[in-house]
Amino acid sequence: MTGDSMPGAEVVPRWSRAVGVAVVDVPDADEQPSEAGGEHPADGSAVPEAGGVVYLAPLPDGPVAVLSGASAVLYRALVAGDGDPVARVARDLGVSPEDVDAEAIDDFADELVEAGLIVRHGAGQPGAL
Amino acid sequence: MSAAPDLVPRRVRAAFAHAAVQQAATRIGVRVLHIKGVAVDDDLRSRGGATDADILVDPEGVGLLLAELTTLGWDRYSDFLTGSPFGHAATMHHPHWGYADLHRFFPGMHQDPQATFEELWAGRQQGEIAGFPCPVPSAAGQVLVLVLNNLRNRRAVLTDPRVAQVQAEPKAWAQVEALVPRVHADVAFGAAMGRLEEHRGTREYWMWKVTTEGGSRSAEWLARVRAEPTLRGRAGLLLRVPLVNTEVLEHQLGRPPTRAEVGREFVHRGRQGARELRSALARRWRRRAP
Repeated sequence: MTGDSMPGAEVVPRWSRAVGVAVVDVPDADEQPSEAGGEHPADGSAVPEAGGVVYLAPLPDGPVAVLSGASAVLYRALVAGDGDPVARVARDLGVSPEDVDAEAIDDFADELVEAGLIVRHGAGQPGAL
Repeated sequence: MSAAPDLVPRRVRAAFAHAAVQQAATRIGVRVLHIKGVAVDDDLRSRGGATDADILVDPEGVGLLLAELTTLGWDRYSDFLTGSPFGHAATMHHPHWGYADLHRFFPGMHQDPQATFEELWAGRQQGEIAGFPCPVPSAAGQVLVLVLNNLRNRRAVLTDPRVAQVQAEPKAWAQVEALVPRVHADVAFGAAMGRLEEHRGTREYWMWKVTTEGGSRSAEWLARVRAEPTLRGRAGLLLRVPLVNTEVLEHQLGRPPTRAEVGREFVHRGRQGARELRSALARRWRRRAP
């Protein structure tokens, strides 16, 4: 099963976080974390970015991958497993599904797979959303 | 996409440190319990959030885990013997995950580390940190760690809203009180609850007396010596008193200290200790003088 939406059928995610990759999702994080260690720079200049930040850590060696804003939204849509990533992205960004570039999501998924951060499941062919 | 460690918030790195240590421990079959910080229930978390990972390790496996982490690129930041008067934790550092404090026991429930670990392990629950399954102590165990940690750090226990919240629930508080004797934490818990005098005459009394009422580092060490149950343990502690923490000195200097620098620090600590002892003796003399 590839995870295509079918009435009455169980939806299987086509992507999931790779084994050995840790994740911290900060949905309401500011875009630029401070070097002092908090999410807020000392000068208070950060503007919260829609989508927050997802930190992915391939253990045991690293380094940490930081997905912020739209990238964080795309990642969540890919691994959510609750249906079509395009619909999920459209919902999260508050736009129409027609306005979401499915090919861009697919390219992004390929990048994450190549980086070893997520894995593709099922018989779905790479590049097919 | 990859980020320099400085651009990753410390509390995020702390969560990854928990997961990384858990992964290593699982691989080599060493049992660990994640404590404090992101490992505890939401109601018990401090507002600031933890900046390192605290992990209680099966005392029998702690050496194995330290060796495994070293092979995985972690450096030893400080050792058990030089870290604190309790000698309870070694700090490891990883360039990406930051700091992890590995506890071979927890101060306040340190009389029988192995039996205490077994007790806490038996009551464990499954938590999740950074998407990894991580065992954590029972709710009562988490509260007890919070209470004893506040005590050790000279922070208020009775007025801590997180503690007060549990005290307000008789059933939950009864579970904490029931756990105390099972992990031999009677004296420390008594001290935290303002009932230390009920334990006068016990070996641990002076240790918590100094901790709760304040005292110099020398006084803290000497009280710890008095609390040691065996002569061997006492001798070990006395030998450690003047030891220079070379790991910390190295981190302060940014390079390994030379023999001369270690020597200077040794003399400095010796002088400081002597000054503290002279002050203590003078205070005692003044109290005794009519």
